[in-house]
Amino acid sequence: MSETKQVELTSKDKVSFKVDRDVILMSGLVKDMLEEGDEDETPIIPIPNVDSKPLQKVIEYCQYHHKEPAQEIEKPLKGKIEDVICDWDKKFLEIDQSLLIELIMAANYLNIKDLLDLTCAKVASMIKGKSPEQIREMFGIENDFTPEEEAKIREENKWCEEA
Amino acid sequence: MTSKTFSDLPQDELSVVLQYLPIGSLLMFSLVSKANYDFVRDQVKNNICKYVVYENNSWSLVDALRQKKSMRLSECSNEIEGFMNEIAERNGSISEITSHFKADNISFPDLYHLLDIRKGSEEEEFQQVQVETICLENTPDNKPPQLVGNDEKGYHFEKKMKTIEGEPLTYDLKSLSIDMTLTRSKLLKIMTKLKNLESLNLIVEQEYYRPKTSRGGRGLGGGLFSISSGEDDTQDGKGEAFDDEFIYVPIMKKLKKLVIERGFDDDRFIFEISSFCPNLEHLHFVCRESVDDNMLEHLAKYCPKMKYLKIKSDDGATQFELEITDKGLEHFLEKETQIEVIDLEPAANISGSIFKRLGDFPTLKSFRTQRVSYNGDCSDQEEDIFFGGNTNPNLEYLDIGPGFSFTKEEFEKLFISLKKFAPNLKGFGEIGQVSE
Repeated sequence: MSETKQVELTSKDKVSFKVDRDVILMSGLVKDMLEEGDEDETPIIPIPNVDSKPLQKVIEYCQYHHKEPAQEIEKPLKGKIEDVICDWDKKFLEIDQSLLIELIMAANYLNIKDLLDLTCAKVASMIKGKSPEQIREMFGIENDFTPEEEAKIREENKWCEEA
Repeated sequence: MTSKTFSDLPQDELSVVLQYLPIGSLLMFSLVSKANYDFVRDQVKNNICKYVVYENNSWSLVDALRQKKSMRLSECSNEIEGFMNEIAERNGSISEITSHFKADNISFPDLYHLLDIRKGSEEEEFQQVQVETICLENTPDNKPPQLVGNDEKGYHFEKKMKTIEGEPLTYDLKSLSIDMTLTRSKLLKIMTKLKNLESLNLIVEQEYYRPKTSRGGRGLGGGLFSISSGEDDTQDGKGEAFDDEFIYVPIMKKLKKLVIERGFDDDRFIFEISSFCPNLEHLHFVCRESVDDNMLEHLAKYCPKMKYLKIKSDDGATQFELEITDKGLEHFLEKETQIEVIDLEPAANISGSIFKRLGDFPTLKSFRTQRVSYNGDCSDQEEDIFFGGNTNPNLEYLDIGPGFSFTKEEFEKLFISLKKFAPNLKGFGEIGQVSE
């Protein structure tokens, strides 16, 4: 029985993860690098933009979804994201906001479209149906409109029913 | 390692987030900060709403998003035609312009012309597509269709696979409102250019058509009504959408919601429309002729996934009662196993026997049959009225109208049965009257 080929990923904080090659080929970036590199037994690929915590989550995602392809999430979201994703993804997304943001950035950097879509849809789901004040509070964003500017923009945007 | 916040999200990733936001939320998000406003405006202008009809000669975020949600087709639709041709030529999607067209203040030929824009280009051959259609009679506009079948068995509509050369761009349109004066055949011809519609709203004024006569005499429909001179000159040499015998309407498997606020004088067109939307869940129908058990039977046969049924007679000059009976409604409820809302008005022919079986339809959440008569002619009331069958924990609203008359004892019995049958009722309208 032949052994499964592995790849070693090194995070920004110098933590190494050994992952099956088939699994991590979900990453467009890793795939390109493997195609360019030598046929080493266990190639080492540095991922200098991603810390170990989000990288571990990325690997977890790939380990599940390389066998269970993710379903496309319709744009724009019609209801709650929980209604359109599988139970595994729901559990996977039970993370704090900081890790979610890091995961989005990691998914984009590593070029994993399904993970990018899932995490961005999660953020959109958090925003959906909320007022500007609620969104500011949720993400800790400062309101930098002057009262006059805000009044003017609100007047322009009177029409804002949910699509 | 510092904790990341939403503000750390780079623009590339943020633009993906925006793609998942419905239009209202997108606007709310733009109001959060100056940076958000600028970013959303740029994204909308360059990516989300590239095709905008300038209303005041200036671009505005709200106008752009409003058109993305709903675009009005009026006589000045040259710009929209240009957009559609550009998108069709590169096999794009109508969703790049809008998800909803509102067709009012546009002539039938202009609308048909717009809807007939095909994907692909004439230089390269148009791609052939197979479409499953329902064949509906193409009768002259001054004659009603001779629907096949009879009252007992219902009407029958044949299916036919048609080959279309070049898919109409509007096959992917999600929602359409039509507020126009049309004949039945003109409406059906419009339908031939749609396929993946999810929602259809009709406000149709009956067009009375005067056919050409060699003696210059008047055609049908003269006298009381104004007669349109809008002859139907649409041509279909290849017989893709229609020929002399039939109009071929694609089966719209995604059509879930149909609202007919005003229809034709002859309500039989509802038989035809329901035949091409097999997954219809929501029907709101304001009828101009009385709806009877046959129509319910037909709806249950062709649209077995109905969740919401509201039928109301036209509130115009002539009031009339629906002819739906307890038996017809009972058969409908037995077949529509997902039904949640029933709303019939005026249901003068509901005698009350159906209430004894209401508990057997556990998906029902709201039941409203307004027993009321405009002519004083309600059917005879069932002698022993109570709510029966199993308990329905889902029923939240009940209204049987003012047209039932009970003694105190009868009303008490009815009320006790109601509490047992619908323990989670949250509200009710009229439940008959108690006689002294």
